[in-house]
Amino acid sequence: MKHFLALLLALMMALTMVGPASAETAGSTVTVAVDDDSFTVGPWGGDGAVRDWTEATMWTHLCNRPFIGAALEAGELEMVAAKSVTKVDDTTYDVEIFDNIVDSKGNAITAADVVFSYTKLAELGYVSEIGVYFDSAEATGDYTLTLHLKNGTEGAIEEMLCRCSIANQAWYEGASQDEIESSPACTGPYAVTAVETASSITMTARQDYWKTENLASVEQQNVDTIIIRCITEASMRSIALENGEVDMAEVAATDVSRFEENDAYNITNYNNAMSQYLIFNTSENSVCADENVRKAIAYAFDSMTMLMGGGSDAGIVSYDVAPNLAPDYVQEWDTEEYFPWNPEVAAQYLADAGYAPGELTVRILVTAQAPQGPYQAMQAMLMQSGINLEICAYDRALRQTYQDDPTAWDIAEYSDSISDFTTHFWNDLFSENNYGENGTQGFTVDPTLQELLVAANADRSEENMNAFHDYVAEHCYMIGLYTEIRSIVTTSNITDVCLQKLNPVLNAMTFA
Amino acid sequence: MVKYVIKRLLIMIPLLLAVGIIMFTLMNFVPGDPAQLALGSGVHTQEEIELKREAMGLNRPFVVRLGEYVGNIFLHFDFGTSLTSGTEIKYELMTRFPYTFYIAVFSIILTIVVGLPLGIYTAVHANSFGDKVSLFTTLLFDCMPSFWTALLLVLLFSLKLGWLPSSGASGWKHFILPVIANSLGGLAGFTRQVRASMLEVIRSDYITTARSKGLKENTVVYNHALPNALIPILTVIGMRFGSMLGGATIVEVVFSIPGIGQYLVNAINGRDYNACTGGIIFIAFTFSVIMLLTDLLYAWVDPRIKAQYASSSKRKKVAANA
Amino acid sequence: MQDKMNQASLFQVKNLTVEYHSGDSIIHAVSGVSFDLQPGETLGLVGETGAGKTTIARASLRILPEYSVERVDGEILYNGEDILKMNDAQLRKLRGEHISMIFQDPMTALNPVKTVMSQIAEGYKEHHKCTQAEANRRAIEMLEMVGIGADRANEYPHQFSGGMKQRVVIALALACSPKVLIADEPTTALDVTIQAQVLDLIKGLRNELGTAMILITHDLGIVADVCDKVCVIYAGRIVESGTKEDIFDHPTHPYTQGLFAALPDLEHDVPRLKPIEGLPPDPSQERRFCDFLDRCPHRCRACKAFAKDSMIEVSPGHYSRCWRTGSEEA
Repeated sequence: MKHFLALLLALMMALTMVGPASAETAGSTVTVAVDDDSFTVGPWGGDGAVRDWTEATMWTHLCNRPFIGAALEAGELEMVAAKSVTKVDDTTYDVEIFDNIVDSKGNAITAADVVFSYTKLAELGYVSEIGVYFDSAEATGDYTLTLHLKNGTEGAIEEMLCRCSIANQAWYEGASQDEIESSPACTGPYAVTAVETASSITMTARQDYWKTENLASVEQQNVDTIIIRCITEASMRSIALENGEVDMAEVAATDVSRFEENDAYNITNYNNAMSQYLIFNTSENSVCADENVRKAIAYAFDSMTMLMGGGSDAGIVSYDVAPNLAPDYVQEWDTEEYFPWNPEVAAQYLADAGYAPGELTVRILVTAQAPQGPYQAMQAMLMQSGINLEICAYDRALRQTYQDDPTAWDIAEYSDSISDFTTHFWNDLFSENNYGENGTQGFTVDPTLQELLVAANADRSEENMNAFHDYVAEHCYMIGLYTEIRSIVTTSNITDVCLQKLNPVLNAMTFA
Repeated sequence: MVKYVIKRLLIMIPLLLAVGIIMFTLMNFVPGDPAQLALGSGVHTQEEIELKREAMGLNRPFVVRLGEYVGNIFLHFDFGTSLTSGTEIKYELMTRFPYTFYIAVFSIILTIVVGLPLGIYTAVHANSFGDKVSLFTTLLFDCMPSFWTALLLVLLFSLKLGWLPSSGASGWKHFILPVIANSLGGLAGFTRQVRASMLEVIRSDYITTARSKGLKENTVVYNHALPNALIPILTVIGMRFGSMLGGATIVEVVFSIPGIGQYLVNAINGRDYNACTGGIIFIAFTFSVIMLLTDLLYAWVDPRIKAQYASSSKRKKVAANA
Repeated sequence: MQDKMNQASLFQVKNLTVEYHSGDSIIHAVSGVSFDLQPGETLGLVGETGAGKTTIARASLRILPEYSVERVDGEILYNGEDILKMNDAQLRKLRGEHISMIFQDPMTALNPVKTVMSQIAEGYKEHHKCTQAEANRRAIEMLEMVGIGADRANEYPHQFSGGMKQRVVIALALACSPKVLIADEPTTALDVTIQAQVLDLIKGLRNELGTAMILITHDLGIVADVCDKVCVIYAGRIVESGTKEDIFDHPTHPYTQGLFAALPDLEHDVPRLKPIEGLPPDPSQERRFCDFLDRCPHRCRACKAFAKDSMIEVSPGHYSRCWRTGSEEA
C-alpha cells in the first residue's frame, strides 16, 4: 500500500513540476459521466459524487490533502490559496493567503472573504468536519487571518484547511439562487460556463487564473473544457462510453469486461472509498452475545466468495476491520490468517455454543438498495454449517432507524470510509465517545476495548495497533469483509486520471 | 361558465392545503432521519448527526415546522429549501418541470396521433384482421415493462444504429426515445378506450340519420361519431397527462432526464421532508389544473355538459329567489 | 308480382327479401315484398311491430345494420335504377337528395353535439354547391317551414321537446326537396296532441312540395287521414294491398278484417275489445303454408294447400293473399 501511495505522490510532484508546460499534453474537451444527479455547483453544498470530483476544480481552498493521512506538520499538504500556515497552539493557526486571488467575475478575495466562507459553511452544516471542529475565525489583515478550532484532535486542522470552499462575500450575498447555481463566480482554476440542472455541468479552464507558478495538483489545467454529464443508470454509462458520447465514466464491476479486451479504452482500477464490514450485536438481546456464536459465524463463510456473490471478484479482502489504506496500518496483518473459511472450526464453536446444526437463526440487517448477492452467498455458506441466516433488507432510511435498536438485529453489514488514520476508522466504530452508554456500534460494553483504543489513538505504535487489532479479533466483535475495486474506463487517449484519495482530479488528467 | 371555473379554482386551495398537511405529517412519522441520510453512508457520530439536525432545523417541534412550512407555501409561495441540498425547492422544481412537461406533452401527442386513428379504424372495422393485429401489438407493448422497452430502444437506436443519443436532455434528439418509451405502454389502453367509445356511438340512431343524409362515410365517422365518443376518451387523456406531469420516473431514470419524477423519488428516499411535500403539492396543483382543463374540454365538446355547468349556478339563484 | 307495372313508376320494390342472422338462426324479416309508388302518391305500410316495415324502409336507403344482415335479394328501383346495386358514390347522391327518411324516435335521431341548423345545413351543402351561409339560410327556411323560429336555429337538440325534435327531423329530411320521403312511424313516439300537429305538418309539406311518401304506421287512423294506397304487411309479406277505399271499405284478408274489428268504436258500448287471437309467427322459421293460419278464424284444411306466393286480385288494383277471396264474399 505504501508503495502505491509513494508512486502517487511522485506522480503528483511530477505533475506540479510539469506545470504550465503541460499545455503540450492538454486536451480540448473531455466528457465525463457520473451517477449523481442532485448536485450543486455553488461554493457549499451537500456531499455527492459530483461535488467530490468538482469542488476543488471550481472553488479554491486554503490547502489540499493529496493523499490519505497527509499531515500539515509533515509538510504534506499542498498550499492552494494559502501562502503559509503557522501553528500558534493546538487550537489556533495563523494563515496567510495570496494577495492576488481573483474569482472568475473579477472580484478580489481577501481574508475577510475567507472568514465569511468558513462561518457560512459552519452555519449551513454541509461538511460535518467543519461543524465538528470549527470554532471561529477572524481576519487580522487584508490577507491574513486566524483560525480557531474547538479542539486539537489529530487531523482536525487538515480537514479545516482543506474542506472549505472560498467565495467572495459580496458576490455571494448579492447573487440570486439561479446565479449561484448556474454561473457562479468561481475561485478555482475552472469556471462554470454552463449548467443544466441535474443534467450536466460545463467547466472551462480560466485563462486568467491568478496563480501561475507552483500549481498544486488540483490547480492543473490540462483540459480546456470538462463536461460532466449525469447518467444515473450504470448500464447507460457503459452504453454512453461505447457510443462515444462520454470519454470517461465509472463502470460497474460486472460491466468492465466489455472494455478490458478493447484497445480503444483504458481502465483505471482503484479502491472504493467505502469498505464493508460486519458488526455483531453483543447486547443481551441477541444470540451473538455469546462469543462462540460469533466465532462460529465468522469461520462459516469466506469474504471473497461473498464478494463474488455480487457478480464480480473485483475487490480486496480485508484483514482488519479497517482497510489497508492509512499510514498507521500494520502491513503484517495482511499476511496473517483472518477468519478464514473453516467449516470444521465453525462446527466446533457452534457446538461449544450449545446449538445443534440447524437450530441457530441469526438476523442480518442490510440495505435494500445494495446488491443482495453477497448476502445470499453468505446465507448459502452459513447454511452448510447449519446456521440459518435471515436477511432483513430495508430501505436506507428505515435501516438507519433499526440500526440503533438492539432488538432488531444480530448481525449488520455496514461500510465506512477512511480519511486519514486507521485509528479514526476504529473510533467511528468502537469509541464510546460516539455511542455513549451503548459502548460501540455493536452495543458492546468492554472497558478493556476502550483502553486499548485510547492507547492506539494516543500512540500509533505498531505495538498498540497490534494490541487493539488482536483484541478485536480475539473477541470477534466486528469483522472486516472487503473493499470493492472500482473501475474508471476512459477512451484510450486519456492515459491517466490522476486519482487522489479515491476521486479523480479531473483537471489533472493526462493524455496520450 | 366563468363562475364554474372560479368555483373550481377556489376548491383547489383547500385541496392543496390538505395534501400538503397530510404529506408533511406522513413523512415526519415515517421512520428515517433526513439528517443521517444527508450525511451519507458511513459511520457518523451522534454529535455529527445532532449538528446536522440543527443545521437542517429539524430539532424544532413538528407542529412548528408544519405551520411554518405550510404557511410559507400558501402565503408567500415560498417552498423553502431542500433539507439535503440546501437549494431552493421552487428553483429546483421550476428548472426540472420543463423536462417532465416536454416528455408528457409529446407522449400524449404521440399517444393521440397513433392511438386515435388506430382506435377509430379498429372500431369501424371491428373484428377484422386489422383489428386483431392491432389488439395483439398494443397488448404486447402494454405487457412489456417500460424500462425494458426503454433499454431495448437504446440498444437498437443508440448503440447499434447510432441514430440517437442514449441519455441526457440537451436537445430535441434526446427526447425522441424517452417519449416513445413513455407512450408505448399506455397506447394499448388508450386505443381500446377509443375503440370501445366509438363502437358504442357508431350504432346510435343519429349516425343512421347522418348516413341517410348522404354524407361521406369519413364525415360520418369523424364529424358525427367522434365528437360524441370523445367524453371517455378525453377523460383518459386527461388522467394520463396529469399523471405524466407528476414525472415519468422510470423513463427519467433510464435516460437521465432531470425531471420531477427523479427528484421526488430521491427526496422520498432521502426523507427530505421539505422537498417531498413541496414537490407533491406542486404535482397536486398541476394535476388539478389538468382536471379542470379536461372538464372544460368536456363542456366545449358536449353542449349538454356545458349547460350543466352553467345551470348549476343558475339553479342556486332560482332556489334562492323562490 | 301482379302489381301495376307502370314504366313511369317513381319508386318500385320488386320481390324484396331480407334476412338477418341472430346467433345461429336466420330471421326472415321480409319475404318477397313488391309495391310501387307514383310521383306525389302516398303509400301506407301497415302492420304490427315486427312485421318487417322498418326493414323495408331501411333497405330502400341501404342503411340496414351491416353486422346483422345475412342476405338482401330482389330489386328496389328508383327511376329505373336498382338501389341494391348502386355503388357508394351513387348511394350518397341518392340519400337525402332523392330519397329521405324520417325516423321513429326523435329523441335519438339528432346528433346531440351539433346545433339543429348545422345538421340541416350539412345535408343541404352535401348535395348542392353553395357556401355555408347559403346552406344556413336554407336551414333556417326549413326550420321556419316546420314552425320553429329562426332564433332557435343555434340551439342544440337537448333544448327542444320531443315534438319539436321531430319537426327538426322532418325539416332535415325535406331540406333537399327529395322526391320520395319514407316516414317510419313518425308520430308513434309522440303524445296524441302533438301527433296531430306533426301529421298536419307532414301533410302540408307533402302537398306543398309534391313529395311521394311511404308512410309506415300501425295506426289505421293515420292511414285514413294521409294515405292514398295501402299495403298490409304480416310476417314479412304483403297480405293485402289496394287503394285506401279498397282496404277500408272492402277488407278481404282475414288479418285486415281482424285489424279493423279490433278498433275500439266510439259509438258502441262493448264489454270487451275483439283482438286477433294468438301471436305473430316465429320469424326464424319458414312455413310452406299461410303465415296467418294459426290465428285465422276461417282456417280450414284447404288453406294448407294454398300456394302463398301468389296474390289474388279482388278487384282492379286490390289484391289479397287469402284463397277464399275468389270464392267468398269479403
